[in-house]
This record gives sequence, C-alpha cells and structure tokens, in this order.
Amino acid sequence: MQRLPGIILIGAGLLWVAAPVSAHHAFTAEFDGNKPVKLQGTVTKMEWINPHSWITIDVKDADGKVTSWMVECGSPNVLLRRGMTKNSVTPGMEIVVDGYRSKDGSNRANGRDVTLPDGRKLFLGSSGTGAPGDAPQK
Amino acid sequence: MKEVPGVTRLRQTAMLLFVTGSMMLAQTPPAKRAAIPRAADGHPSLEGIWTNATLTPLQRPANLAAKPYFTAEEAAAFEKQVLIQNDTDNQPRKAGDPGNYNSAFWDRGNHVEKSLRTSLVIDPPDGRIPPFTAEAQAKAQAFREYAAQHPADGPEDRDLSERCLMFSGIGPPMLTEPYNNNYQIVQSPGYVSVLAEMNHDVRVIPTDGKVTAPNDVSQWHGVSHGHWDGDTLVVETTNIKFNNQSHFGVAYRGMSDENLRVTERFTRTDAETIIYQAMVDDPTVYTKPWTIEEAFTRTKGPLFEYACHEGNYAMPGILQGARLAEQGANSK
Repeated sequence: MQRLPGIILIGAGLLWVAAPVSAHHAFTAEFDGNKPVKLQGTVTKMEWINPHSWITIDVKDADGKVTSWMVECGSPNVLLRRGMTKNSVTPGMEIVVDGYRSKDGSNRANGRDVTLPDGRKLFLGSSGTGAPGDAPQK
Repeated sequence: MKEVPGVTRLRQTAMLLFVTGSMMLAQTPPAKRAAIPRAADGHPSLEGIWTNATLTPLQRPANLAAKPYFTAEEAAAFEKQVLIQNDTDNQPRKAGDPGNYNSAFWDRGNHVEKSLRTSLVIDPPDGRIPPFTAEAQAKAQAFREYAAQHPADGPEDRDLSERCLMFSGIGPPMLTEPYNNNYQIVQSPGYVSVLAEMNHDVRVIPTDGKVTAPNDVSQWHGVSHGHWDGDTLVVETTNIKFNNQSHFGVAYRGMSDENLRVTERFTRTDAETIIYQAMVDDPTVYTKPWTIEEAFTRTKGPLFEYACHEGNYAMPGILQGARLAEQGANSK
C-alpha cells in the first residue's frame, strides 16, 4: 500500500508543488480504488461531525432490498461557511454518489462526487471564506 | 545544538537578511502607523479573527522558477488553474486510484497572496525549501523504506493529522492548512495567545520575558518567547518535540528534529492585515535556513470547535483495510 507523497511529505522537493495534494486523510489508505461504487439513495441522516461530516443513505437494489451506506463529506466548519445548514441535506432527499468503497469492505464510500438526481452538485466548493481578502483583488 | 560544518556562515547570513528584511517591514511610515490599531500599552494590537487561506503554494512551482512575482493577470490565471486542479473530480485518474479530496473539502480561499509572490517561501530567493543534509536524507530514506513495509501496523504509523493529534496550522511555523484556516488572537499585557481552529490548539506566548517551561522540557509546539521589536512581535521557539513515534518532527509537516528553531515576526500593517514571517532553522535537517511570508487577513468569526477525533471513522477504516490487505497477501 502506498501513501500519498503529499501525506508523507518526506522529500522537501515533493512539498506542495503546484497544488496542495494532502488533506486530512489519505484516500488511498481508506478507500479501495478497485471498488468503484455508484449509489443512488434516500438520505436517512446527516451527521455534522468532525473531522468530516457523513451522510447516511438507504440504497435499494433491484430486488428491493435496502442497504444503508455511509458517505463521507466535507468538514462541518467548511460546509457552514459555504452557507450550508442542517436544513440543506435532510432525510428523504435523493442523492447520487460516485466514489469508491472503503477498503474494509463495509458499506462506506468517499463522497467526492455527490449530486442530486438532476445532476446538480450538492457541495459546491471554492465559494470563498468570507474574508475581506476574498474580494476580487485589484 | 549540533552544527553542520560549512553552513554556519550561510546560517548567519540568512539570519541577518531575515532581521534586516523584516526591519524594513517594521519601519512603517508615520502616517500609516497611526492607522494601526493599538493595545492600551501602546504596542500594535494583533487582536481579532484572522485567516491565512491562500492559493499561493509553499514552494515556487518549477515552471515559475525565474518569476518571484505574478503580474495581476498571471495571478488570476494561476488562481483559476489551482481551483480547477483542486477539484479532483475533473482530473483524470489512473485505474485503482481513488483520488483525493475535491473542492468540497478544500477551503484555501480563491486568491493568491496580495503580494503576488509566487511562493510563500521568500528565502532562499528561488522560493524553494533548501535540500536536506546528508544525515536527514538518510533518515528520510530509512523512513520511506519502513513506511513501505509498515503502512498501518497501528495508528502510530499514520500521520499525526490523520490521528487528529497535530496540524501544522498553529505551528510554528504557522502554515496554511487545507481548510479551517482561521485563527483568533487575544492580547493582554505580557501575553499574546493564538487559537487555531485547526484542532483548537492554543499557543500562549509570553511577551515580557516570562519563562513558560524549563529549558530541558520539549513540547509539541515548542517553548516560545516573545518580545516587541518596534512594532513587530518577534517570537522565538525552540524545544520542539521530535516525535519519533511518527518518524518526523511535529512542528512542520516535512521534516525537522529536536534542533529546530523557528523565529516568527508578526507585523500589523493595516486594519485588515498582519504580515507573518517565519524563519525555519534546523541545521541537522536543512542545509540552510528558510523563511516564509504570509498575510493574515481579518475575517468573520466565530471560530468553531474542530473536535477532530469526534467522528474519525477514517482511522479504523485505514487500519482494518491494512489488515485485510495483509490477509489477501498471505492467502495468495
């Protein structure tokens, strides 16, 4: 198993070359790149917890059997600053997740790409921090 | 402190440049000085809620080697490019690669530094962190070899931030994090305290010569002593614990050891800005010292608790994944 160079950050030459590549956790360590999943389901719970929030969805298979999946999402502080509230994702909402299953085989997936059934992204990134410095600089 | 022969002069020169360069910054014209908020004791006030979110990379990218500053147009193009790169959903991935966090997770703002510098590293002039000493290179190689064999025997093999223990935002040196780049500074006679949202760590820095820990005590954030140099708060930190358990120093996410010394300079330049400089000097790890500069910009509060361990489902996931990978390897 390889850790991301951005996480190990051993060689000074590797550090933060053009874009930051490390974040809180190493996706490669937690999720299995050989087990892509596409899940469509109904939100049963959104946990606003640290370090990252998690959405639980009920996914129904072709036979009608319902399985509960957990999907990792952004840090609560970040979501809040982007204008999301506890009313933004509520039980009963339908969402679609494209991601990878966790390596331990449990029903967990990273939530890199979470969309509404019509294709709109649920979490829009890079909307700024609200700092004065975020205004266009002239 | 163990000194590496031949680099002492370089180190002294770097220190001299750091001090003189910073003095130029501290010598604010009188007209502007009046605009700086001040504490009751006459020192500049550093109080408030600040962010160091920035898209400026720590080190200057290779394709900008000859370019210490962007033009405004280049900065806008660079910002756009970084935001697209960060949105990893749009990036091609190799088979078997689950990718990394996308822009739903990042919160480094939308802009580069107002200075339009192309790197946070301002010294050496090439904007790059100096090479490791031979000794540190050997240690790094040994760690790489160990990590390849023991990616996750236990939580101790994982990055301190994955374990929710330490992040580099609070420093020293204070470096921009992927998110939660928010800080609250509270100043009182004799102390400046910095609270970092990224893992609700606090540094309480005495500014009047008080000693906060005995000389032989090492701490994860080190032992800091502050003093005012004109209108600049200078903070010297040593006794930074070398976290052998995690195979590298805790203060900077690259590598450092027990000889790390960080000199920080906080200069409030206007109502909205603190210019932060930090010189990293670790003679047994880096062949010469290096200095970063970042602006801390006033931002809206409040800070929120980042109780990272609260729902750190990733750690059991990583460990269990590693155990299953071992079983898979054994059964082959």
